[in-house]
Amino acid sequence: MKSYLSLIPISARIHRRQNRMTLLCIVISVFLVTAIFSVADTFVRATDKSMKEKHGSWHIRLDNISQETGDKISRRADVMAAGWSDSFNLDADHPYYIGEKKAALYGADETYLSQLTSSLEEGGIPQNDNEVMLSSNAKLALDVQVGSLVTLRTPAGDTDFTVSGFGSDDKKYYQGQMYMTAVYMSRNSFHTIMAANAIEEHPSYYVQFQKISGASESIADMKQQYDLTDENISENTAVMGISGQSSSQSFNGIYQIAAMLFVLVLLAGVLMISGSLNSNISQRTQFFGMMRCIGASRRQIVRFVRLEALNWCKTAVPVGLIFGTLVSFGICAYLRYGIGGEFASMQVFAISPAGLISGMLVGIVTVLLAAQAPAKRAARTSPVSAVSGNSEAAASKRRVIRHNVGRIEQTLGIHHAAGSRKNWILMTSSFALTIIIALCFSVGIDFARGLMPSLKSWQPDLFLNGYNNALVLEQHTKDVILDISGVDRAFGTAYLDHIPATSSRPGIDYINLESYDENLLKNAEDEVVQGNLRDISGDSNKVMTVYSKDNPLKIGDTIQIAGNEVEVTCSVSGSLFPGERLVICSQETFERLTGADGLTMIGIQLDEDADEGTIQQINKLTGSDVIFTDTRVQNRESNTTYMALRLGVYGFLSIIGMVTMFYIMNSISISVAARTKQYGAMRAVGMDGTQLILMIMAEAFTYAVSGLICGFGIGLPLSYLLYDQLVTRHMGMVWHPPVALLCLIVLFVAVCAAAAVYAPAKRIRNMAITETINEL
Amino acid sequence: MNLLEVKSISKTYGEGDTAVHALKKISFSVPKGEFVAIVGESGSGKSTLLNMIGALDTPSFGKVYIDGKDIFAMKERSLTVFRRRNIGFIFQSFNLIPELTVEQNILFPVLLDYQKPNRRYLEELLSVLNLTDRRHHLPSQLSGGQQQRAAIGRALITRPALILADEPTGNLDTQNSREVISLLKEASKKYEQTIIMITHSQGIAQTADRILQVSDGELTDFGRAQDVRGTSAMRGTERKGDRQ
Repeated sequence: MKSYLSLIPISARIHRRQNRMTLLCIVISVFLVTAIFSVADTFVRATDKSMKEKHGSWHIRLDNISQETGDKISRRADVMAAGWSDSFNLDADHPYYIGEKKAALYGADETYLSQLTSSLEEGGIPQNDNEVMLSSNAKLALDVQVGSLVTLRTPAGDTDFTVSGFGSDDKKYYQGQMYMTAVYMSRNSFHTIMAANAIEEHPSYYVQFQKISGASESIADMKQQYDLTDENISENTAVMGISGQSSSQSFNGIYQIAAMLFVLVLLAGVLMISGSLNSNISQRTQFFGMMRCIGASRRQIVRFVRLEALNWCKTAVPVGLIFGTLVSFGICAYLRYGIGGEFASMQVFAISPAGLISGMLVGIVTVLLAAQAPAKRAARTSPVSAVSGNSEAAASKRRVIRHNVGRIEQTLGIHHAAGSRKNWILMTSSFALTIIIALCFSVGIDFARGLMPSLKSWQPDLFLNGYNNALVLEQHTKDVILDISGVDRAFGTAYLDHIPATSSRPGIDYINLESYDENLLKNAEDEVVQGNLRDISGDSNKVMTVYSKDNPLKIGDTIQIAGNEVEVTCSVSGSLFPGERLVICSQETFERLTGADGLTMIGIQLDEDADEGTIQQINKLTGSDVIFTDTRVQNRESNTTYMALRLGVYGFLSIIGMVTMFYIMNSISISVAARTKQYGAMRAVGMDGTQLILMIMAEAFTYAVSGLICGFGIGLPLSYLLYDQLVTRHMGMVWHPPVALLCLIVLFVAVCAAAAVYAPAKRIRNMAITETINEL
Repeated sequence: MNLLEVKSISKTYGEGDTAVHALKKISFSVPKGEFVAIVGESGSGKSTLLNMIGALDTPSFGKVYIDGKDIFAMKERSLTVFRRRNIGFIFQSFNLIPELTVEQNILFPVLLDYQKPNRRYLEELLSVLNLTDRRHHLPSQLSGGQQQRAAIGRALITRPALILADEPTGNLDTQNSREVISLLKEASKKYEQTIIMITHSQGIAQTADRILQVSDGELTDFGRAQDVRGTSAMRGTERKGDRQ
């Protein structure tokens, strides 16, 4: 032995059993952080790639700048690539057609199409003024391929182009829709067409920096050098945001939440390791007392405990890192293959430097922070009290037990829990915090669920929608669609807004009227907030409305429309069309009230046999005044987002739950270790093993019950308030006590308490009575 | 009639070369109502012997009969109940439960047995132990002598046939030691209880009916205390400062 610190590895070998819990706590902390950050890092990398694919890899867009300024910018050392692009008729509100479909026109240079956006999906980008690249939906909408001839019809005349390839700089916009096609041409061709139609051009300049990390400085410099203002500059929020460079508040909000979660995990780790170290130290009071007796100074004891804690890191951190990385592989594999969607591009076996470094840092930092208090506590140990007996028991204040009812072992157990106010409050808070977080997060999940229409049973895979919500679809089109192979269900709805009306409720001078066919009415049963929708079917005078904080119409109101009176008898939580003053009736009532027999929208749900042929057949039924939208990909993405959100929330709750469990286990272990001698005396005077377990159980369950009372007492009103503000207010669903969740919480708390009792009770029972009396 | 019979008990700790023979085939018996003192040097095996008699520890070989019952043939739970009802323990360091008052500490074994306490007997004990006006005090509010008297009360509350005391005066001054011993003797007579007490004090040992000496795990029966007064063997057991 070279120094007294050489005792650390020797002591670690001897106290292997006692150190097991502390090592486990460090492993769990490192594992959690490594797993979470590795998955997050892999997700961010995958998202970065998909963001660049969807939104382009450019960083900023400059509007209203001259060609000369653009040329100067392109020569800057911090700029990697820059290119021009202009567009026209993106909303399809002008009569520009390619084939039978509306056309959105783009004039872009090669740098923009090939470098700044990963536009090309098939073929090549236009190489001359006679070539165009079309968005991929044109293949289905126009039935064209690379090399086909297409004619662009403009008010000033027609121009023929050859299709050089397919692709788009905004894939999401054109994905799944058949109404409009993007036409990418050279800047020259675009200029010619715009000039012929007397339309002013507004080209934008897109810039990609060499290093995204220096983007903020480069932007500031460019503003100053070229006299640019904030109005001139827009950033590619998705790409800049994912790299942490965005000025967008929502993106920064996400990073703030990530930082908060990091701090929470760090705190949880400190709490867990600290509890475990405390237990370890309290079990070795005599050892530290002996050290003090033979001349160790307080500072030496502090150093000893700290180095001992760091010594544990030697094993625990690598184990945590390996375990965390392996689990992150599993989660990534589940996200990629089990959930798919936006996670489909995630790498499964990705080693994340960020995850490994944060895991290692958290391991060492938490251990050092957590060792602080126990080290000081060990150093404070009086040499005399340490060698003579149990300092913990001697130091705590005693209060008289009131034992009038119940069994003595239970009374004692309860007293052990309630005896130390500080400890009781900490343990109760620990349980209560977990319960409150679980109850509040469950409201968050309900809210997220309500926000995702794709989770509703009637959510269509395909939409046919009259342009500008016109009643242009015929009733029999729905029947024709239903006969197409691969179509499972179809529903039709008619919509007319701003219909003049009067009502028993003052202030109503118009309503928006929507019709539901029998299919929709059946599905709406799940969304009823108040009333009954039985009477709404068929030609009737009963209607329903949408429950919303902004909707003035309530159940019982009567409305006069074109000389007919209808009564609001039901309210539902949502509808197909947004807006206030929405009145929903049956298709028959709609026709009677408005005299219109067309449909605004047909929603189609496909079955497993549906293929591209099914889509083609449905597409052929649409005219130029009908927008055809394929929402399958969007629906899938929404579902995966919701699944990932749930996974994230439940994952976080599991972490908090696990931390609570370990904390409770440690605390009970400390409490039992501190009373070893007392328990020995109790056994000597006649307490049997069962009574001993009952006493420790009474202590653990006192914490559990007070935690439940406190957690439910605060959590349930909070859950109600949140639900009322988020869900009831916006979606109309009424709060009910989450019975299943409450049962799950009670079960979790009971399991925690039982698990906390098991090890210490076993330890005490396995000790000989003589050993427990002589302990310490 | 013998209340206690110890038959050839041995206790060995460890194995092979490191084996320590704490007790070597010890046999003796104690009739009902006798007050026995066990003397011996530190580490001689006195406490081990007492722990065996009280079923707090199990012997490597041999049997212990209390009131004719082989205590090591009993199962753990029955043994606990038997100990609770038939054996009273008094420790050197009192081992009172710090959260319980004097009265609650005394009643503790009865409460563990889920029995209704006999209030008259409790009052009598409190009075005999001179603790009536201290009944609602916590152990931390009592002197050492008062704490040991409370511990004696706890040992007597179930009217056990056998009381085992491990150096009950070890932490007390002369005056308190005298009081505690006289209380124990009084109780022994009044309630016909057998007392086996470990002591290092020659003076206290000589107040017993009989003295047993344990030395290197072996037992010597000195017989009646007055017959061994002043023998060299007794002087050897006495610790410095224990003379009273």
